[in-house]
Amino acid sequence: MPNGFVGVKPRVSGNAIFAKSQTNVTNVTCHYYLNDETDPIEALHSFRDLGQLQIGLPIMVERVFFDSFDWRLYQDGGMLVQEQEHGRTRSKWLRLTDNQLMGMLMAKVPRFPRDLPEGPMRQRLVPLLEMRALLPLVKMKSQVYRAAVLDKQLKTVLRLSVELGCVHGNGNSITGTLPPRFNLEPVKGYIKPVLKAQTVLEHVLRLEPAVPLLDEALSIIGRRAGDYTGKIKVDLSPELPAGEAVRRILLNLLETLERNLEGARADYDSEFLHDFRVAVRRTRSLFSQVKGVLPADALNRFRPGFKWLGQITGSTRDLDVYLLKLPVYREALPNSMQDDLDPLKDYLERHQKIEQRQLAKLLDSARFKHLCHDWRMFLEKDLDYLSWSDKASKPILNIANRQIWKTYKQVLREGEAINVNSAAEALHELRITCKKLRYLMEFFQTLYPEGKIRALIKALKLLQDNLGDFQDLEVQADALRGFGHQMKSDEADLPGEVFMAMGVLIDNLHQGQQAERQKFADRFASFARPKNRKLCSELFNLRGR
Amino acid sequence: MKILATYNIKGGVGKTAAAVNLSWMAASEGYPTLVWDLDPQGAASFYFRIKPKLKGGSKGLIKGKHELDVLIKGTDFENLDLLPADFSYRHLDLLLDDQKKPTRQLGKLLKPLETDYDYIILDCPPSISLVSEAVFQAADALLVPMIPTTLSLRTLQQLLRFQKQKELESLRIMPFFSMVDRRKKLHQQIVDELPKQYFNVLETEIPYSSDVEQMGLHRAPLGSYVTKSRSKIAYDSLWQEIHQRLQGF
Ligand SMILES: Nc1ncnc2c1ncn2[C@@H]1O[C@H](COP(=O)(O)OP(=O)(O)O)[C@@H](O)[C@H]1O
Ligand SMILES: [Mg+2]
Repeated sequence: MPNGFVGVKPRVSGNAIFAKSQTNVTNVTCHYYLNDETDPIEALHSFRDLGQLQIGLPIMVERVFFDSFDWRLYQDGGMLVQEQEHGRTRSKWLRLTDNQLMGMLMAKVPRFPRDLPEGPMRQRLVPLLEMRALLPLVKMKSQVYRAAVLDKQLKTVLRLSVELGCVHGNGNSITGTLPPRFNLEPVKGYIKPVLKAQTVLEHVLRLEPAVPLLDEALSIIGRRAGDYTGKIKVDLSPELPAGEAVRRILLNLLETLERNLEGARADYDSEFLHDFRVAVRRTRSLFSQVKGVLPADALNRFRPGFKWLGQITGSTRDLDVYLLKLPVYREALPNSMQDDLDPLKDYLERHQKIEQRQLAKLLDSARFKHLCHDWRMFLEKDLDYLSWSDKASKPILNIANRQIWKTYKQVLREGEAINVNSAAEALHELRITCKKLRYLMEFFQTLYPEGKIRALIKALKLLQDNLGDFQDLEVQADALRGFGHQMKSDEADLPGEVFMAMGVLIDNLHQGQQAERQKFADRFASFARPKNRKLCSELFNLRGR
Repeated sequence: MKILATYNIKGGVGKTAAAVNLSWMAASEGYPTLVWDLDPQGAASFYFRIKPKLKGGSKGLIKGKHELDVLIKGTDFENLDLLPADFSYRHLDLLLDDQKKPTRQLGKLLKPLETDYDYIILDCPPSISLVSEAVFQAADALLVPMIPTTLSLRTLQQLLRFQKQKELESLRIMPFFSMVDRRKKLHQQIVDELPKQYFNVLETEIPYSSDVEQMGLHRAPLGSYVTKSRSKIAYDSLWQEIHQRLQGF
């Protein structure tokens, strides 16, 4: 991946430094490696033919790069860097390929994008990052030699810099040194000097293009951009013995769980705990869905532990969900009532803190540590999976096919039995079956043609969204009622308005639930349409072939 | 994105000085800012040392041949860009007149820049014309520098009447006193006695100062080469006041 950016064609759009009429220029490499023995000032002097050169004194720049845990800025082609120079702190949102400034803040990077000042940067980052916090990734200190190329009017038309940087760990110790870099910083609207400078760099100085600074710094601390995603994708081949396949999936899930541990413990943002819980749920689902592959004694040994993990994380997650929903709830109320919800917010925040503290304690417990340790030992050390069971040595494709097909047919059966008079429970049941099917398709997705399995997952997701909303809205209404009772008994002197506002919300939620119920028939029909049935049969039904 | 315009029917009242200095203030506070030099004379472009020339002229611009974005030049200052003047802006009125809904054209051109800039400051030529009407349509606020004379009050009243007539209710008009010479009795009188609230006049006044005059020699915004000067402080507090008022709506 670190080399992925070399020679990448620039997107000629919004901020591109190239005019449309100059699209013949395709290479916008702005970073180069400078040879170790080249003197920075001397290197800068090589550009004196470009115009008048203004060379400044070298300065120290301290940088901390930020992104969400799941790399949302990076995936979007950008990076957020907090810079300190001459004691002044600024945060810049830069495009990865050419360092073009996309937004700037004269302050430190806030924890959440919603804490940014009103403006385009906030408008763009809030929907991109959603609930995710901005976390520091890597810290650097650099000696920077800067020069400006001036035109005849003494206006800057290009900036150049040489950067000698180190990556710093906690407590300021140097972790590693970066190779010296030569950077071009184009000035918007001045393309000719950039092209001339590139000629000097490539043909006179003969420098090699460099990867973006962020990637370089990350490689020093042994990390790679994009090294976490909440999605599960385990490479499997059809003939792989089922035991080995299941082992790989479970290990992948354990890894996800462990990677989210620190953030969930410290509550950097609510998504850590969410991903943690999903990993737990998927693990438990695999326990029960792929019966007979894992040895019974192992199941007996580890099942209770994962059940426990589901339980201890539940109440914190619930409160997280309501805190995330609160802005939506507010919006749904008439303007005059919106502030009336403030006591609910206080209540939720207070209780979330209490639950979170409790959870952190449990995640520090010996029980949790042993569970993770023993589970890993079992998955890594007990390599004799062939002796797990009979099924463990069968090709995984057969087992996956059978289980998916069975669950798929169950979804169809349950869905077809639902009509306008069916009880809510029937939809809840179907929701659970759909979830099982979803997990199965995701666990085993690499066994099937990518486009086809993706299309099915997408169709299923639409149905799940409907069923999920139907259930959630009811759960939320019930929870609000519960919070209301709790608040009344906790604090006697709360204003009546808050309960009124909550009453309106509960009504809203019930109405929303009815609306979801109306949509069900269409969604289900769409999922169960002949095209999808054919596809499922083709992929999973052995007998049908 | 907020669009501001420095506007006055009269020339030589400090429009360009305000556009250049206020844009620099905004940019140095971290707000990506664009100045559009709409005056064919190109004074703002001159201050930023950028040639007053547009590829394809204003015709290319209005006819949508070039996206605005590719005509923009970075200035020497971070976060601060300029759309240069062009001599052909003399004919901008005629070109606009040739379009459907001529007074909507500037706003339409600026729309794609919405996510790129926090502030766009239009530096207008001194006139009342189709161009100025298009500016009134596009802008959120007009910054109107006034030299304290009785005549300038009359032009302000004219402007307010025009606003009413054209039903430009959402346009905020923010007049301020410019080139104030407190030694002149008339200046003193007008500045002190005008019912500021009534006309929504900003509190800050820009004093007459040789520092501002010297911008032409330095060819740079005031704030970039002086540290403490009365006029820099004045522009700074003018910006704070404008910024404050813009938050309110
Ligand atoms: N506050 C001030 N003090 C002294 N001179 C000023 C001041 N403001 C502007 N000037 C000078 O007055 C002249 C006209 O100013 P300018 O900003 O170009 O006006 P406009 O854009 O309204 O025509 C310029 O030479 C400028 O340097
Ligand atoms: Mg002017």
